[in-house]
Formats: sequence, structure tokens, C-alpha cells
Amino acid sequence: MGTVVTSQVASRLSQSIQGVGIGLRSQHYAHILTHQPDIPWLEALSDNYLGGGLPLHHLEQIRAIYPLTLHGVGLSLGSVDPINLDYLARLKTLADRIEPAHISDHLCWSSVQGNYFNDLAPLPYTETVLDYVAERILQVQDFLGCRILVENLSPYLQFRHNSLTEWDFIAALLDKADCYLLLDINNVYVNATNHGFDPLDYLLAIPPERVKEIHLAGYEDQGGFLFDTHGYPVQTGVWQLYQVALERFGSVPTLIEWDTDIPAFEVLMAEAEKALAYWPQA
Amino acid sequence: MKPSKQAAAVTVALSSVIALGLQTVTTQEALAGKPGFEKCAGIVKAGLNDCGTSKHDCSGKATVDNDPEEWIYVAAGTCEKLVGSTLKAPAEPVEEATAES
Amino acid sequence: MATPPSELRQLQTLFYQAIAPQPKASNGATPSNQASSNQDAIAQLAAQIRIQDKLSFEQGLAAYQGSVMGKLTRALEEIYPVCCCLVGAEFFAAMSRVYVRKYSSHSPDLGDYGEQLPSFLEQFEPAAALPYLPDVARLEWSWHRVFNAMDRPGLDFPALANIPPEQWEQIRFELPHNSILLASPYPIHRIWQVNQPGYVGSAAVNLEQGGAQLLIWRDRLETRIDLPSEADWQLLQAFAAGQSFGEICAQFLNQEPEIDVAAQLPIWVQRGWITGFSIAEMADP
Repeated sequence: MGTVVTSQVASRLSQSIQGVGIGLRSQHYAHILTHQPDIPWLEALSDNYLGGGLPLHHLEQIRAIYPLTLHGVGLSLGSVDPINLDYLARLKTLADRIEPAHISDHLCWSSVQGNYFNDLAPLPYTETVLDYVAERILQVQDFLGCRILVENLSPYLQFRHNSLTEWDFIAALLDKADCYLLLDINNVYVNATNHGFDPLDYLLAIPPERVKEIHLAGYEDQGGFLFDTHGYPVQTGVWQLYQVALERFGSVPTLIEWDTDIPAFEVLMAEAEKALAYWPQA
Repeated sequence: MKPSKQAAAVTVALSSVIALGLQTVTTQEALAGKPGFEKCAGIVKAGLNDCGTSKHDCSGKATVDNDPEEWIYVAAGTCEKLVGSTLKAPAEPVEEATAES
Repeated sequence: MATPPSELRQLQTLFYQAIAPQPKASNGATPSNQASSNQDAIAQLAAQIRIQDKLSFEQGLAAYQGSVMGKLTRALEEIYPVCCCLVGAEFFAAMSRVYVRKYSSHSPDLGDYGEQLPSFLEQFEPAAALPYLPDVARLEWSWHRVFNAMDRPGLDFPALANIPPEQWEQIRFELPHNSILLASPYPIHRIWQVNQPGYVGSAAVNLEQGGAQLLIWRDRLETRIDLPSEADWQLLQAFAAGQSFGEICAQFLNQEPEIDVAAQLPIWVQRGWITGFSIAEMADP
């Protein structure tokens, strides 16, 4: 199984993104199409456009104005079930139509024996699992004809038999699968709080050249532990960690994500501006 | 029925349809034949998939199965709009678990 | 293809059993066989989880259980907004939880979840006072599927014009891809209409006004609910059944001579009700 990015595909994905983008949600289609706000790029949730129909029509209208990235939840990269080839084929069809700057999904699993729970479940961090997941990512990249980005999540349970830390697991995986990282700073922060580690150890373990996108979102404090609900503004501790990340990884394209109690688009614009203020002045 | 009548109908129908392909006008008759409800093309349905944790009664409870189980009932609300003999009075409150038996 | 490590298979099966919504028995308790497998799974999973100061095993487990339940019930709420209006949000939420415990998801796309809700509602005792509810749910599911269906090109006139006249009787005309014919003894189209956001006009629906025969389809970007005439309805069913055009003409000349199929076909084509065709095999050479 090869990992070569063909020149044809490289050119398809040559569209580049920079600056701070915003996660595209259907509530904002009308606003975006009418006002064409000044944002450098948008990120669409692939899974909502795999059928076609009206959603895809709206996405194509938006794509005509803005660069897009595709972010998915359904690849189930770490599942013991075979890769869902129908899903993968539909993702490729979508990518062919939308020509995203890149395609990403999560370092997780969400189905077993054909049962989906449509959520992101954690993996045990062992050498065996590392080899297995790397092979699956290679299979996906081979099919799509491009490298993908995998995103770290907020696991609420950690396995006793983990032989690697999450950051060492990810660093090794990026190398082994020859893929990129979508670094979710909020998840690193939530994870560090819930599981008691220093987030700086995490960031220092990640090879900078593999980080192609950063996510920022708001967690919910449950009193002691944190939930990654994407329903709040980015919290203070996450902003601080973001600043450290920018120093280490450079000006990586960054995305504001909001999924629960989605506010007016202006609120997301303000968050994006706030993020940009952490960037070194050009 | 004579087979020729069927053949004639087929010929008339197909000739008309093929002729339609040569023009692009839409007859008033065709449009008038479209009674129904339309939703305008601009309607937006919420995307169902996202990547945040959904916080459905998960605020520190041991398990969902131990929820103090909800009582359910038919809310009058919109049903008041419906008139006619088929509509019965709202059901008595029923425990969810009972409902499933 | 990568071979999954067996210990990962065991762990994921266990994890799924522990977090998947569990059906409940009639007395409100979890059925004993499922309870034991679920409780066993939870106990076995607990033994594999690293103890944390901040986040206990129970809290972590509840986070996943709640998130799965939340995502699936929200999908039902988004797909069935009229049903939700009719029974009220509280009833709908409780009903959804019963449904989610009974039907697992089999697709990565939440838009594929909830197909069995209409038949589930037929058996759902607390909704028995609303006999039209299952058919309203059928209409909502149909609308959802048609709305999200892939675009298809319209009728290929040049290809049709190339069919030699001696084969015309064997043509099978196709209704729009993903179009749905739905009949109900209740005026479900009116119930649907008055419960749409932004609807203006009389909100009263007379349940005795009679039933509905609906064609749900998409005319390019426009999702439509059409009310075909009785003649159109009979013809639509013949087309949907995949009969050849010759057979349809013969059948209607025989049984419904007042319906002029030959005159209707071009009208349907203009309406957008005919979007494709194939050639049926000859019955007798």
C-alpha cells in the first residue's frame, strides 16, 4: 500500500488556506451568502454533505466564494470493523466536487460490528494499536489520493493498559502513517485537566512540520472535569495554550468551532479576530 | 380492447414527448397540474453531524438508565388545531416504561 | 487490509455494550438478561480504565452514554419537527429515548437514523390517541430523504428520440429518483402544512376532511409535496410499479378508458415527473 501523493492530486489540493477560519454550520448559510463576510476560509462537516441534495448545493455556492476544508466524524479510523468503503467513496466524490484544501477526521473509533454510536470513542495507546491505525490511515490516504489530517480528541476514559502517552502515540502515528495533525488545542487543554498532565509536554512532543491546522472551541466546566461541548467561547486557559502552540508551530491555519447553542455569525467572527490577535504581527 | 388502440396511444404519447424535446416552452396546462405545497429552494435544514460532545443528561449521573424516568403525556399544544371526531382526549400520563410493554 | 488486534476487538465490543442505550422492560427496570450483559460489560470495562482524580469512571461512562443518547435523539427531533409539534417537546423527547433504546444506528451519517419511527409509533401505546401520527412521520421521513437526495439529470430527450418506434411499447418510464408515493386516511398534508415555521393562514385541520394521496419529490432544488388527481394517482402507481408504457396504455384503455394516458405523458414530462427510462425485455420474441 503506497503513501505517495500523486502530482495530479497534489494540484487538486493545492488550494491553500491561511489565517483564522470558521466552522460552517447551516444556520449561517444565508448570512454568509448574503454578506460574504471577510473570513479567509471555512470548514465544512463532510458527513452533512455526503448525500447531496440541497445541503451540497449550498456548500457549492459557498465554495464559489471561499476556500474550504472538509472535516469528518464518520471514518471510524480506529474501529476493528473494515473501513466503510461506501462512506469513503462518497467522501472522495465530495472532495472531487468541492476541492478542499485538505480532508480531516478524528483519531478515534465510532462503530463496532456495524453499530454506530455516532460519537468519538478513545483508543488504547499501545504499539499494536498504533500499527493497526497507521495501516488504516494509509489505506484511506491511498484511496483518497492525498494525505489526511487526524485530530486529537477529548477522551473521557483512558485505558489502564496504555503503554504510550497520547502525545507519544500521536507523534509516532504521524510518522508511521505519513499523515498530518489537526491539533485541537481545546481538546489538549480539556484532556490535560481531566487526566492530570501538563499540556506543554503534549505540545513539545508533536513534530511542528506535521501540524497543518489548529482547532479552537469552548468547553463546559462540570465542576472539576471538563466537557468538550463546543458550546461556549474559547476559555482563558485555552487561549494561553494557543499562544504557546503558535510559538512552537508557527502561524498554523486555525479554526473556530461551535456546535451547541450556535450563536450569530458575528460572535464567531469576534472569536476569530481574537485568535488572530495572538498571531505575530506581519 | 384492440391492440391497435394501444399502439395508437403509445405512438401519440411518444411522438408528443419527443416533440417536447425539440422545444423548451412549458405549457400552462403542465404548470396548472402541479397543485401542492412547495418549500422554497432556500430552505435550510440543520446539519445533523458534528464533533462536539452532546450533553444529554450526562452531568455526572452514573448512567442514563438510572435517570429518574420521565413521565410522558400528549401535550395539548398544536393538537388543538386539529378538529374532528378522530381526535381523542390527551392520554393520561403514562410512564415511559409502561409504554414499551 | 489491516487485521484488527483481537484485544482491540474485545475492548471495543465491551465499550459499545457499556455505552449503548439499553432497552427497558415493562416494569421500568432493564430486562434482566440485557441488564446483566450491560452491567457485566460496565464492570469489565471499569477494570480496564485508569483511575483519575478529576474524572471518575462513572462520570466518563455517563459522558459517552449521554452523548450517544443526545446525538440520536437530536437527529430524530431534526428529522421529525412536525411530530414534535404535535405531541409536544417533552413527549417527543421521552418517546425518542424509548426509540433510541430499541433501534441502534447503522450508519456514520445521523441523517440515516430514524427510519423505523413511523412503524414504531404505530405500536407506541401513549401515542394511540393520535392515529394520524405514524403517517405524519412517514411524510416527514419522505421529505427528509427527498430533500437530501443526490441530484439527478432530467429526461434525456435525444436518447429517447433515438429509440425506434417499434420499441416504444417496451419503454419503462421512471419517476424522479427518490420520489415517494404516500397515501394516508388522514389529511397529513394539511397537518404538515399548518405546522411549518412561517405558515400563515387558518391553522385548523379537519380530520374528517378525508385522506391524502401525495407525491413527494424534488424538482431540481425544490422539494415538493404534490397532490395528484385521482387519475394521476392511478397512473403514478402504474409507473412506480415498473410497468412498460405499452402495458400501462393497455391497462388503462381496458379498465379506466376515461384516463387519457397518451395525453398525460407529455404533461408529466413537462411537470418533471418523468426523469428517465429504460427498455423492458420483450415478453415473447
